[in-house]
Amino acid sequence: MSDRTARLLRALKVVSEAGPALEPSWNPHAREGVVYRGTGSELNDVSLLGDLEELANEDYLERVFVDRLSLCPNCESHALNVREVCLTCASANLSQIKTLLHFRCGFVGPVSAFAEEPRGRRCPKCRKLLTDLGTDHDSPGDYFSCRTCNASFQVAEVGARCLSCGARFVGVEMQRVGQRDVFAYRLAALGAAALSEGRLLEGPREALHDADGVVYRRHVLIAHVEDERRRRLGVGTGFGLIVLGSGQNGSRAPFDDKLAATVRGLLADNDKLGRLDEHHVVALLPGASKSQTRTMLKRVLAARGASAAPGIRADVVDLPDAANVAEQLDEVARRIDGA
Amino acid sequence: MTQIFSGFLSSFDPAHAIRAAEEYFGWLFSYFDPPHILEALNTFGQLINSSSLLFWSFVYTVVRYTLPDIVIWIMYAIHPKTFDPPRLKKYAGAEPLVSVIIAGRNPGPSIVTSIQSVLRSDYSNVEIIFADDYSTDNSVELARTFERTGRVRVFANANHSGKAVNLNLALNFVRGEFVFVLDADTQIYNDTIASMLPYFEDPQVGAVAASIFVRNGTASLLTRFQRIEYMLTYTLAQLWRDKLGIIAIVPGMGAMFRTTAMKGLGGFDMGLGDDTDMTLRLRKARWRLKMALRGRISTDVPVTLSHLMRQRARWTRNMVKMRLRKHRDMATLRYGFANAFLFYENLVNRTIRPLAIVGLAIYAHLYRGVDAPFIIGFLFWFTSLELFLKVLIARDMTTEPPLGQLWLVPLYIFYRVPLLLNQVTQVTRELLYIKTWHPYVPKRIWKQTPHH
Repeated sequence: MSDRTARLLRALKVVSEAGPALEPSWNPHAREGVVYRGTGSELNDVSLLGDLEELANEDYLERVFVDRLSLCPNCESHALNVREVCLTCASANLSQIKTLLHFRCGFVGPVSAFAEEPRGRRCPKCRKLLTDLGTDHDSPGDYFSCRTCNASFQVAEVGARCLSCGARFVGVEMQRVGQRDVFAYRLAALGAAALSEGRLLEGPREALHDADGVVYRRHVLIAHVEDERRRRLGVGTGFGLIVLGSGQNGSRAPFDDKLAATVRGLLADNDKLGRLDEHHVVALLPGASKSQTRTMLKRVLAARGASAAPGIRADVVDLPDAANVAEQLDEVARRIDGA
Repeated sequence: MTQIFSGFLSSFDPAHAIRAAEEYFGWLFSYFDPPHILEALNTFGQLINSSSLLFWSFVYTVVRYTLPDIVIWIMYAIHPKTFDPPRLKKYAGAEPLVSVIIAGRNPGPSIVTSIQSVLRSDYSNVEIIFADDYSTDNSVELARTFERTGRVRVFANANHSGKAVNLNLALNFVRGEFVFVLDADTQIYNDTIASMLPYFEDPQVGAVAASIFVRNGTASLLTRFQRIEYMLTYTLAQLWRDKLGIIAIVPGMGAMFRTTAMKGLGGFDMGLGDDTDMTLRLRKARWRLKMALRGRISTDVPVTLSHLMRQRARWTRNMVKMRLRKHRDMATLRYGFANAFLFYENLVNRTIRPLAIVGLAIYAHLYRGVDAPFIIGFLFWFTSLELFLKVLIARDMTTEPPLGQLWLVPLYIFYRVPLLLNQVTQVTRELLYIKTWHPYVPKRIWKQTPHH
């Protein structure tokens, strides 16, 4: 067993021991801003994150979005202080001020310009009393005033200062500020299989399929779908997509190998079955029209009625040309779970 | 003529009415024939001898509306530098901050043109404040794209409040020593601010009016006429008024103000006619007003007749409301001779004169058949000649209107007559307080505003 395999298997073990998912812990002193520590794990945090990402790319792990970090474009530190700043001088020394408009004379000014009296406020221009908001006066809105350059504005600019290297970013410079998503990781079906076998599934067939060779891995499935979509755009050949999930009485259940084999038996040789996540698979029907896809959906659901596939749920995916394939499939998976 | 007219009125038979109308208009247009010009000249001679009221009104019109233009042109021909901006002393080498304030409701893409014109001008020390009057289009979004320059700031009013309020809102945020008020459909030229600023060397100068050029001058026949009209009735008139110290309007579409003067008055008052009102209030506060021939702005004018009529109706009613009612105290000598002169000049020329012209025309048609050739024939040709001369003067002093527009001069009177009738109608309506509210100002504010 190579060092890499041993390291990745240890990372899988960390995730499996962490519970349903390995959650990040916020740590301002860590270079990445977060640390992942499994139960009793002595793995180095930085290399662990690299391993987790590698495993997620290979479909051994599933990513669960937690948050998004802003990174300094100079030093990539996550220690950025983001705040509202002045439009003209970029100072953060701002105050928020409310304005009033006196209908009678049209005077507009900050609330502080209208002297407060027991029965209302006194207009500095015409000396009349303002008593009823909405009847004799109202507020055109609030604004910011910069205590440094005296400029006033309604919508402040967003600026940032890196607390690590001291660099400042305002306005268009903020577009240079990088972002990194922070995820929790949970074991996918493939990861569970790798752990139980004590090895990574790296043979030519195993690299493409789940452990039993019936279901394509997630990233392979998505690549196939994108290929089909390219063909549809280029030569107009259609294809069908059905997302399938498993579970009964509103709860989800893993879409296991037995269930996958049942569905596989309903599909044509040319059709492909791929894993979306632990609970869902996707049937890709190359060359199928919409009506043919619907017919296949009915056949799958009929199998549920015959108890061949109890608790199976499924729906057809209408994939627009510009949509993100993975997001679209995940969206339908959530929808059938909700239904 | 009286018989024809009586026949036309008394007949209820449509066929007869059509025949009568044909005869009437045939007779009317026959006075455009060259032989009738001689007849008209004869009539004019008769009028001189008879000292008719029509004759003296004609003389008054020439003295008031043509003579000053000729005098100012002679001054320009002899000493053109008189019309250049003063030499910079105080501001030489320095660029005081100029705050350009723009108020608008649904200006759309034209707000981009306006802001760009200021940002691209030769004068760099500017800040632009756009106060949006609760637009329902993407004006705020468009204007905010300039905020990253650090020189533009946008304030979106939370309610529809009218132009004056939004100008005051913008005024609240200015930091400059001078305020340039610009309309959202108007743009400045490269040298506009630099040409207007030197007038403020005189500490008594409170505001400087810009020269207005028509941007959409070829959009329709109406805009072509307005292109000529702005030069004749605004720019030329402002020049001689400037020399006499009786500038009557600092236009809201483009003018520069001393910030202390404007803020000292508490900004704009509510109601219609914000620019007229501000001009008169500045005059009463004894600020000097100037006209900058080289401080040019270009603006869009109404393209359709209905839009033009609505605009002029508003202007006329504002004139009565502001000049004759709100600021009627200018009629006394309390605010000086020039201000009193301005009041009476307005009363005579913009209220009594239009009514008198229409009254005299009706009178001449109905009771003085002999005057008809004078009115239709002589007046037409004389007015055309006079306009031709004024267009050449304007062209010489401002390069506008282009010579290619000279063919419009004989037709100009047909553009002015409907406007005159509109003016008479609106003066009458305003004097009688008929439907005084205008949607320019929201009703919730209108109800609270004192009206005069």
